[in-house]
Amino acid sequence: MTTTPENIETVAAESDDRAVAVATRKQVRKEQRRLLFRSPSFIIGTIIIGFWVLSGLWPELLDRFDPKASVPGVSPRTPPGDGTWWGTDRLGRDVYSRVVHGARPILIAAPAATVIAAFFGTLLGLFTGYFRGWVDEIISRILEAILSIPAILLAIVIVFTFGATTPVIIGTIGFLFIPAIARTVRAATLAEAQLDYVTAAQMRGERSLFIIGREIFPNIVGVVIVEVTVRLGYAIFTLATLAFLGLSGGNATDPNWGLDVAQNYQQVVAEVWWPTVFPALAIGTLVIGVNLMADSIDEALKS
Amino acid sequence: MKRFIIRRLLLSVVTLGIILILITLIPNIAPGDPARKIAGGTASPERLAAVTESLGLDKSVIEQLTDLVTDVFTLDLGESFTRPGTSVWSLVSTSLFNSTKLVVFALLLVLPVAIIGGLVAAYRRDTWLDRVIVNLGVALSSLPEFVVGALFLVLLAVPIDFFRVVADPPAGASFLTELQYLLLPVFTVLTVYFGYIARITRASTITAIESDYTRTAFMRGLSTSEVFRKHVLRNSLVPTVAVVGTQLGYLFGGMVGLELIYNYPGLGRMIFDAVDSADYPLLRGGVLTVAIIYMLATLAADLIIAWMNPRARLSLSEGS
Repeated sequence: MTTTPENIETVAAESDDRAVAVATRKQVRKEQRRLLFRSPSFIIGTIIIGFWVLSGLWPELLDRFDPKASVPGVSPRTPPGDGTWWGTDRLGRDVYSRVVHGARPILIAAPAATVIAAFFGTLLGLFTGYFRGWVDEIISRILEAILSIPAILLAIVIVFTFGATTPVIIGTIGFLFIPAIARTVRAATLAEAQLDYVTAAQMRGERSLFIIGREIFPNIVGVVIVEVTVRLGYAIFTLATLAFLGLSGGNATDPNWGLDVAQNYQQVVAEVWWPTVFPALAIGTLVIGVNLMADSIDEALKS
Repeated sequence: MKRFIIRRLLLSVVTLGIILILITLIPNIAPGDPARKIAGGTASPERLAAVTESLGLDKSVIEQLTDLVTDVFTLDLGESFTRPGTSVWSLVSTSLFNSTKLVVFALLLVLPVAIIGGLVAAYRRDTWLDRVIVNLGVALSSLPEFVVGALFLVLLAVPIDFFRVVADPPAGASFLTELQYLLLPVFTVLTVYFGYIARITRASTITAIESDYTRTAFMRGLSTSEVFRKHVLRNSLVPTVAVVGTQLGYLFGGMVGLELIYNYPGLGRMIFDAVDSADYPLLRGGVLTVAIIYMLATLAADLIIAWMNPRARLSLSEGS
């Protein structure tokens, strides 16, 4: 292409436009972040998650006794207050220390599974939503079929078949959450692909990979982030339920919230409520924290 | 409408076909020998052979699939593995009946409460009431049922005699007694689903209230209740119907935690027990039942939506 004066001008104008677009996008992002950091939901969510992340990283910093051994001098099933904060369980172990130590397994597995699902789900959603056609039709039907069986049921079946180890549990949940993410990303991609800027890129003769990765993806990042945070909540849900069913990926004596509820809830009728209530509340607060965070991110991106 | 129904039915058949393939594939792609894993390392060769046969693993994948298809269409799902002589179908139908009781009772409570909650939140938008409903909805969604169920056990069942710690009433209990036993599980479902359904109803109601046809209706001098009945509800309940349709499979088969904690013999627990005891025929029957319920529920939801909102009929023909 020869460089004519008009040509230079249009190129210059284009790069000017681009600079303006990038600047406004930056400004929008900054404004969204400001809104996010001031939202009460986000602050509360961060505090809750922050506490559990701290317990997950350095449980020794917060615990009071060995979570796997009985507390010396305190008998089993002692209610909260007498020498321990949250009482002792049927084996005399400190409920508080077990809850603190129980954060790590779920805080490793849930994000790991979510990352796997997010990666493959986003790729699948982008490609099926952009190319459509019969491949999309087939993949969408398969995803639909997987979604038609409750994830927790499929998880039970798969984890039992492959063995209840941590990698299997993470892989299973990661796999089972691909369809939901793919469906959301596909819908967003479909909508984006109708817009003029995509047609323009196609007219310019850009490669499909470039259009998907550099044109469409940046515009649906918000959708992906929100979907991923929501899935993180469901990953915690699924992991806790699997552990409650005895599929924890660890030993039966390891501190694990879902497993601890399972091992203690039958004593609730005998008024021994503390070994059940505290791990249950731990799961509940973690889920609520993630939900609040997901919702505030969604709100900030929508504004 | 006729074309829509035909297309939608075909879609359901395709989904069912894929589910059948998936169910056939799982034991085949498992690493090692699933039969040995199920029978245990010390199992006798006879038992191992019996397990292999019950899994159908002595046949080719295609044969396994055609066997499964004939089983489904003849409603003959074989015999339970752990309870020889008992047909899978009889076990599945008992659990299905129990789950149906729980789900129907739960929906009869959850739907009106959540829909009214959503409508109120939309109508009183940006008031404290709206904020409470929305934030509760956000916070409580995706809480595991066993967590809520365990907390209700401690807070309600133990201190208050009226509430029961188990959901399964003694044999021969009257209808009202059954309801009494089911109350806490139903409260649990209400807690977990209220916010979810209320939020969706709220969002679509706000869209409907803000649209031109609603303004026109108001300007024509219709009363608020008339506008809601004739114009708003018809449109705003479409997403709610869709959500209930997609969640029905979960309500029937996914509430393992709830059924375990209240000792209720529903489908979820039956499937869990089947997995736990390596009763593969029973497991297959249970998973299939849940998948078919989901298929029928989403089908019903789509047909209701198409009837409520003609525009929705188009989206399927365009392959959304």
